[in-house]
Amino acid sequence: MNLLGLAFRSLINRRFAVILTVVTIALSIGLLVLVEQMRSEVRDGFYRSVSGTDLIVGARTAPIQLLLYSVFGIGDATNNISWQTYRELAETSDISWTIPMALGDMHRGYRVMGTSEELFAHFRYGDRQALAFAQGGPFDDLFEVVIGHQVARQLDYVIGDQLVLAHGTGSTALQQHDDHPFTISGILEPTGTPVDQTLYISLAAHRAIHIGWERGTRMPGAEIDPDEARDRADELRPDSVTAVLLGLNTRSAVFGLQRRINDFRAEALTAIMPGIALQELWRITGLVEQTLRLVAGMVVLAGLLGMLTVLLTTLNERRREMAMLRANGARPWQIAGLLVFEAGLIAASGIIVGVLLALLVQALAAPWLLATFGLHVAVAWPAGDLWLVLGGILLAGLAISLVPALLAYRRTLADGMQVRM
Amino acid sequence: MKSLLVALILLVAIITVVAVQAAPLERQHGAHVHGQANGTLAVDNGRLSLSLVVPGVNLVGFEHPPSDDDQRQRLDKVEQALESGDWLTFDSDGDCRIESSELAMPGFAEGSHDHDEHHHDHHHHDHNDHEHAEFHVDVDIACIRVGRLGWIELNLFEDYPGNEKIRMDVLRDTRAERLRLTPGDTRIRLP
Repeated sequence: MNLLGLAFRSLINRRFAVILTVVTIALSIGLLVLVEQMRSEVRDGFYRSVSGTDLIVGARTAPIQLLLYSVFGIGDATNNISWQTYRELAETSDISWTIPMALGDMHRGYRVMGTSEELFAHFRYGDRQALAFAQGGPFDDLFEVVIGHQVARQLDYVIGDQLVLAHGTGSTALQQHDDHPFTISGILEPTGTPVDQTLYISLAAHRAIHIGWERGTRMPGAEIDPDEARDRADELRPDSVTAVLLGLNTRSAVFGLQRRINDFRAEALTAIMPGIALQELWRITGLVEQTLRLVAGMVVLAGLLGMLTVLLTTLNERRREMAMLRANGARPWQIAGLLVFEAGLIAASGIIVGVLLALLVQALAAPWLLATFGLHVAVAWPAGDLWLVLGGILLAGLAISLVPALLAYRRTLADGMQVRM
Repeated sequence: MKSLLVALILLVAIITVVAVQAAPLERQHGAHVHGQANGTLAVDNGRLSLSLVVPGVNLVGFEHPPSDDDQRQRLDKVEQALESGDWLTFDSDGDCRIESSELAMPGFAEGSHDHDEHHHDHHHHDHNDHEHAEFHVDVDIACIRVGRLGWIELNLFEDYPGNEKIRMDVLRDTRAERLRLTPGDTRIRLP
């Protein structure tokens, strides 16, 4: 007799209850997998975005805040660093390179960063990769702009296109730098970091478009003529920059320099090591993550208990079925095995569907994360540890099914043959 | 009239002096948390440099120049202990030894207010006594087999119950991380 075939047919016969049970388990597994995956992917995404930068310097603020607004464009700077301090920093002997960042302008929702060409030479992301141009090259003329991959893709820009930057968040039409249109000189390769969401102009250009804006809005007649600005490009420099990325000649000098910057008397500064600031950020989010994990674990437990309930309830309804099987020669352990097999099948399908569900949600959330935080979240297969957890859940499902299996083992024959009124 | 002019000149002079003095950012205070010490450890080419800033309270229980023999004794004892380097233990596989060790104790010097080298600006305010006295230790360590050095221990808890935790920033070739050493875990692991 083909017991497996019978088991399948029995399951199909009870398809509604079975499908609902599978869905319950799938949802709980999906939640668990999603929480784990997002946690590790988001962390990776953050780590990828700052590699090879020894120190980030900004005005005195909290380290996490400085990291978030300088690298990720999350939140705002409370203060800037004066140009003089930036120059003094750049000329310090331990320092190999500096990347100044002047923030504050936007272009259709994307950040505009005033910076120097050092960015293209020294900025690193991911596994110490340098920025590469998909097309074109760095800004050469004063009013040229280099744009990130996503900016080009979303706004359909190609080399040579002209665009107008907005002052501040640029919500009103009056706050546009439309007297100084920029030409796209280069488009960067995708990086999977906030670089993809950023437009880069030179510090001189950043200054030039803000001449005449000293009172917070444009003063007609006070702005600088583009050609005049080009002539004066060498002397144009901003009064302040938002933050500076530093690379050192010797890595072991980092702590000394960090202390000197933090103790700098002339201006209140904060220097942070990006890796350590991120670690501090995870310490804060760690509690939330643990809570999410706990909730996900509880939901999985609820899913398994749901399965137990269904098995136990149907056990009563299936007394006749079991008795028939016994009458046809099935042994008690075969009946018990049938129930364990059923439970294993339900749990396994639940797990498979759950993982697929999590991957689907990830795939759907990825564009949003990319657009909002510039974080590239790969739709990755669960890592090794997670498979162990899933295997454990399957075993737990089998273990739980031993309860109805034992009941069936002990009472199938007697139960089914008795005539009850 | 003349006295008014003199007064005016004096006033201007005072304002100028005050303004000139206030020009550099003098009103800065570093964080100083009793019970917590901060340190850094950089591993570079077989050399380790370790710096530690420990609030005075953590080790001796007071933060001012010693005022009696008991305090003087305690301070001397801590000074000797820190200078000896005995509070550091290394994994013997690394074959490490202390090359040099420097100790500064800003705020503990008797009689003098300008003694400390590191934090001179700290104490120039109009306070008569030192606000925060600290121990600053810088240790240079050379290791013959730095690749096999598995750990370093900072034994600054057992004898000093006032020292509750040490926050260590550790920098290696590829990564930087922050560790929190406590009486239950005094080890910096360098895998």
